[in-house]
Amino acid sequence: MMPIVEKTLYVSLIVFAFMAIQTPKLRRSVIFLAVFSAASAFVYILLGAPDAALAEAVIGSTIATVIYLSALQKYKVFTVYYTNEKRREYRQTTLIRRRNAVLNDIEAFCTSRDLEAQVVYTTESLESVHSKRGWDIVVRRDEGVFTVYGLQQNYHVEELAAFLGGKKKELGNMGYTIRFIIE
Amino acid sequence: MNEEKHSSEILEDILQFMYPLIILFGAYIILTGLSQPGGGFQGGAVLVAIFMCRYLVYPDEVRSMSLTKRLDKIILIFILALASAIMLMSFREVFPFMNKIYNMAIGILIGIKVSCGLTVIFFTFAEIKGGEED
Repeated sequence: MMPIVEKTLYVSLIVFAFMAIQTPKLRRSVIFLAVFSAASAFVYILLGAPDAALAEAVIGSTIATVIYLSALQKYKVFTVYYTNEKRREYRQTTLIRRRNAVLNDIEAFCTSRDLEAQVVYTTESLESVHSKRGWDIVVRRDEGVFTVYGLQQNYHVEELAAFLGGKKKELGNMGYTIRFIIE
Repeated sequence: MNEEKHSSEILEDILQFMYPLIILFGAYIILTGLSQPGGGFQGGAVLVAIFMCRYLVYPDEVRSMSLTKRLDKIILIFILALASAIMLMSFREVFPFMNKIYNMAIGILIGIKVSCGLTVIFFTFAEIKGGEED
């Protein structure tokens, strides 16, 4: 009879392989791949191939992971400044609980274009955010009106405008209005 | 946000303690590869961890890969020369006691070659500047 450990490892191989493919974030996918490699190294040991297991453990779950992660570090990050001047401050707990639909749509756009969305929440005025460097778009919220500022030279901005344009009706039903200003 | 990279003191201290252990483990895998699981390739891959750790502690340190690349090529020539010399001059029949020494020498050379090769690959990935703004 197949021991329970072996059975568990086989199931975990399938689960981690599936998760590595299904997860939308590339970094998570790399980590799942590393766990998959470690599990397969255990399976090799149980099947009586310790040499292959050692190679799999060293290369699959460490070196390949580190190389993937360092390559992903060079990957373009799409920085979104989200400002709401009417609020006093943003707390971490409220951010986790409540994310608005517009930001979710922007994140979905980034994921579809293989970009890593980095959202910076702030209560600073639009001018002070503008004076900062390193942003790709600035989203300013005024009650239900979202104004998205982008730069002409950033080719993702036009695509984002088209993407959000398609969702206008959906967001309109939630009481949100979106305006795009490309400078 | 892109925080400036600086080495952490804890990481530095712990890795200083880890270097000899990594070298010992790599050397153990290479040298016992003849009779146990392991060998030059696996041991060499373990030895790359030293360079990776060094990159984690000092990410901004300027490195020259030319020496590693040169060593990589020289070792490859050594491996080929040693293997062909042993084969062509039928050393194994003439000196049967050399068998073990030859296997060990090839293991060590492959270990150094693999660690040089993987180090070059790792730093090529790590040091390429991508589309980041600063």
